[in-house]
Amino acid sequence: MADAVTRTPSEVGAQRGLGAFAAGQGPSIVVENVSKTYETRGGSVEAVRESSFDVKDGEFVALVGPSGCGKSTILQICAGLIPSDGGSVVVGGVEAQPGRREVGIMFQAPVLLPWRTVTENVLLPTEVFGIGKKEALKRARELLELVGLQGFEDKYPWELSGGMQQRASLARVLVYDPDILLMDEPFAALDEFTRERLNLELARIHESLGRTVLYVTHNIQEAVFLSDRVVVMKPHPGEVLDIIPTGLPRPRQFEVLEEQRTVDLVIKIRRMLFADGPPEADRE
Amino acid sequence: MANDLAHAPEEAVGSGLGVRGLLARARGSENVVIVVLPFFSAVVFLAIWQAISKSGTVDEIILPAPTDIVSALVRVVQESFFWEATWVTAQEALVGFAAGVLAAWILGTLIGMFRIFSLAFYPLVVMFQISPRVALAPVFLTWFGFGVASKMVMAATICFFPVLVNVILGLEGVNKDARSLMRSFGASRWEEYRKLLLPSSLPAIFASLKVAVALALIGAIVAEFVGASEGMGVLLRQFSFQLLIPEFFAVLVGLSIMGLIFFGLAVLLESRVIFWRGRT
Repeated sequence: MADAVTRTPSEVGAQRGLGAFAAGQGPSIVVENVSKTYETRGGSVEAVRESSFDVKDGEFVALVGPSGCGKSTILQICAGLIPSDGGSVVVGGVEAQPGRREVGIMFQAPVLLPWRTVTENVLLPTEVFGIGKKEALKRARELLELVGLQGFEDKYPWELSGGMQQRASLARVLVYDPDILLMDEPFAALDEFTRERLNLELARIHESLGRTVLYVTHNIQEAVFLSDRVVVMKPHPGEVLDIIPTGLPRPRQFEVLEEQRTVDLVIKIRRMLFADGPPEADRE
Repeated sequence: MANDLAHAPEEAVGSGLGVRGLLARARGSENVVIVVLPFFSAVVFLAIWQAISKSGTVDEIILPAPTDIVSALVRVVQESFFWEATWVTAQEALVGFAAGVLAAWILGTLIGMFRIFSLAFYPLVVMFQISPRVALAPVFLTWFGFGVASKMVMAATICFFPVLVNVILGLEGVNKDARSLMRSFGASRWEEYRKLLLPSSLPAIFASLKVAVALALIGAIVAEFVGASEGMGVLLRQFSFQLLIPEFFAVLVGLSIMGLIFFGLAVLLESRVIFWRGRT
């Protein structure tokens, strides 16, 4: 295996030359004692209870846990799409709210508009944020090449496979250059092989662009591979069990998945999550 | 199949050439089955009808033979009064359709976008829909007079509700993640409507338009029955009173063709506007 250089998130961030958030200067996302309760027909459901963690500047942090642990809820709160019932969430120095150019979200479904071509879809946020058309188009083309979709600029979403649609969705979230990326299980709906390939590409993109990323997943191996630190959560009610640094070298190599230290990390997290035996059946 | 055509010479002349021509063109392809089968069943149906009428089992006044209807149709289309009536009815239906659709689109969008409209108007609209609006025809006659206006109002009233419901459903059915996406960009309500809600709801709206265009025609005809001086409904009444039944059926055929043309135009428009339909 090639001699991999281990870089800290600060170094990655410094390389990108961040504006407001100079490398290593305070965390990008601070989630403090956040709670959220939903009212359903069957009574109230405590989705998240007093959970705290932070994401440092330029860091890649994964939220991992089974369904019902509140990880998606926390992400939506960070995106400002739903309010929290307690605690505070500060994203990029400002309280969480929607419509911020510094923040970008990616969902599990690609959510591409079928009446727009791939390029037009990627340009959508630039229209809303009012970014100049020429500059935006240039950036869109660069990003489509970065995610490997060159040649598909004028195709429509239905002409693309699921994996390709998610790449387009990734290009769309990057086109307006947000500092912070919030990703909600973006590759969960894809087959394992496509997912692993996209994970590798995401790791590369993160390493070259140096964005801060909060990544939600239910896949422990994916969480360990992608992130610098893993926030492990348990369900009913959703709570943080532990925060584990992965300490794996960057740039990430595909073979790291077969290394003992990676396997040990995955086992460690599994033991944490399955301390009470096999997972319960979904009660939702 | 050629044998049947030989044994039923009268209608075969009218439809046989078409069938033979199609057979010749489509020979060897699977499209033969798709096109020829309905043709075949139509021919059989017409043959049975012809036989029943000509045999005398049923009084020809009640059920004229297809051949008599065809010759009546040929006579009638040469008269200018037929085309004047067709034009009047077409106008009533199309203007009524346009008015009903516009009203439904505007109100439906307001109801779908703003809760206050939903609360204020939806119960009233449902109540209005449940009452038999066709019975309002005499009322419209009194309010809007004997001329085309009352027919247009009737047409608009009948096609209003299906379009309204589909506008609302179309707005409600928009992908929730897509709405979150627009919100995360900080899109205004108007931007969200223009870029997401409107295009998303077009399939549902167009589905109702296809139904509405047929309903508008029905509304116009019904209103003409109740009271009018011109239009195809008037022709139908006149022919019926004078017991000119083949002519009556001929006008019906004309109406059906008009309805088909309107429907076909709606389908064509839909395929142009919603080019992504059924392709996701």
